[in-house]
Amino acid sequence: MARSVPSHDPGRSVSRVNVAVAVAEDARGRIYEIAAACRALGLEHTSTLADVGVLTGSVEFHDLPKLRAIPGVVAVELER
Amino acid sequence: MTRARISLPAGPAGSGHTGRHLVLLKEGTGRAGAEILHNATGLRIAVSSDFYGSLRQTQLAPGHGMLFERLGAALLHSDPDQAQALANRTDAQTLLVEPERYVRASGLAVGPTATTVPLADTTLATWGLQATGILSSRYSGRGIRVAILDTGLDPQHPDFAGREIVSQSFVAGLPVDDGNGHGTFCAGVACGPEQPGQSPRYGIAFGADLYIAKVLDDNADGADGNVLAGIDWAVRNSCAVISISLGAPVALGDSYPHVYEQVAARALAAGSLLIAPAGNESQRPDTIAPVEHPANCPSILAIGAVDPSFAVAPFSNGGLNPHGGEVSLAAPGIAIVSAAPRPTLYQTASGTSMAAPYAAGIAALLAEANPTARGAALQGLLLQSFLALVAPARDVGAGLVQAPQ
Repeated sequence: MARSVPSHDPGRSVSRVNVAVAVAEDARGRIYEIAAACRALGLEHTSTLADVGVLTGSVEFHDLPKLRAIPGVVAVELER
Repeated sequence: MTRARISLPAGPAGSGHTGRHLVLLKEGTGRAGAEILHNATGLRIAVSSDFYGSLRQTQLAPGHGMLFERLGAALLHSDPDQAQALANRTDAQTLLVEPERYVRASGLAVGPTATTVPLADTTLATWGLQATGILSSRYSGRGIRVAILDTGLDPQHPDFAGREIVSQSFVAGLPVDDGNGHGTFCAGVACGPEQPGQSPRYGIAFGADLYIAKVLDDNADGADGNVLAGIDWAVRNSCAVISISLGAPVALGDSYPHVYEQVAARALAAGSLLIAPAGNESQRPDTIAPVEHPANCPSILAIGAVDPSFAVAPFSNGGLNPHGGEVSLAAPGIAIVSAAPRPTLYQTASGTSMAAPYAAGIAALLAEANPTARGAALQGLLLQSFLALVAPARDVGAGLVQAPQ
């Protein structure tokens, strides 16, 4: 069985976590705008998965609630 | 979604149909489907989750129906007029009405429950292909795009020569080439050739187009972000089937991940069916672990593993958590032969990772056989393509997955 495990980046802040941000169905047309809002609140943005409405990247752990509060964001989960 | 309009075959005698009917309901109908079906047909409709763990699908009496609320589907023991009345309805709540088919492992001396004599690999084909009715299927998955999200593929493997292969690596710094073997194995089971060079037949959808996403590194490790990117890529490429033989253990009582569920639901809505292994954390008979992440998402099918006697594999996880944590179907997962990267060429392995590509390959055959059934409709068809087993639904779901004939 292949495993899905946390990725570790040497030299990165220990409180920095990899996240997946899900964008609401009715906000998918604004995914690039929402990505910009996430970046402004600390997301180091690595990819925009427009076809499934997800952003991935990393963020300081204490900034997670800020991302969750962005209008159009329905879930922010830590990568496994 | 548009509704398929069909004229339903009448009887069971010699037609390959059981006389019962399967109904696909609109997404999100839930328990309300019981009342909708009762009002439309007059049948008494039970709800499967009320019988969780003890349901025997074959016990459905005439005049009764069973709603599988998680699947948005129902099995009706209706007469042809009742079923036709349902098929003729113009509302949007019932999407598809189809006659239920008999499924069997052709050419095998097995009954409708389980075999007592274990199957074995022959010079013709592996035991897993025999058990799932592949050899007698008239379908090959021709024209169907199947995505394998794994450790990549050895594209120079002689058994994949001449195949349509589109590939993409989502692992930084690594090409799509398989430095592990897991991905080549899974691609081999789902889409291996009709006539391998130096092995009995081990693969299912030999006519399918392969979409290989490397989302795991050569230690077979990866992060969710890679996997989600691979799903996004497969959806964008209109892959009807996405096989993801990976996962991570969850605890009893854990909920499913909401991001994955959203992604899987959107993939289904876009016409891509996701299939994942139930997981290998059990140590039966002492310990049964719950279906792992991401197979525990309601919109992702979870595949358990059985051995050549159709008994549950000791490592195969069980449906212990509610709301998506159920096992959907079982497939061969012990002593499975498939492709290995050169120079090895072939290898034998066990695991629910080996079982999930069986379901994926058979989903590709069903997709070829039913050109308009994609996403949830294809999922519904796959979930009715099974051989009932003695093992409990907790461990094998509906039963052992079977190829369309």
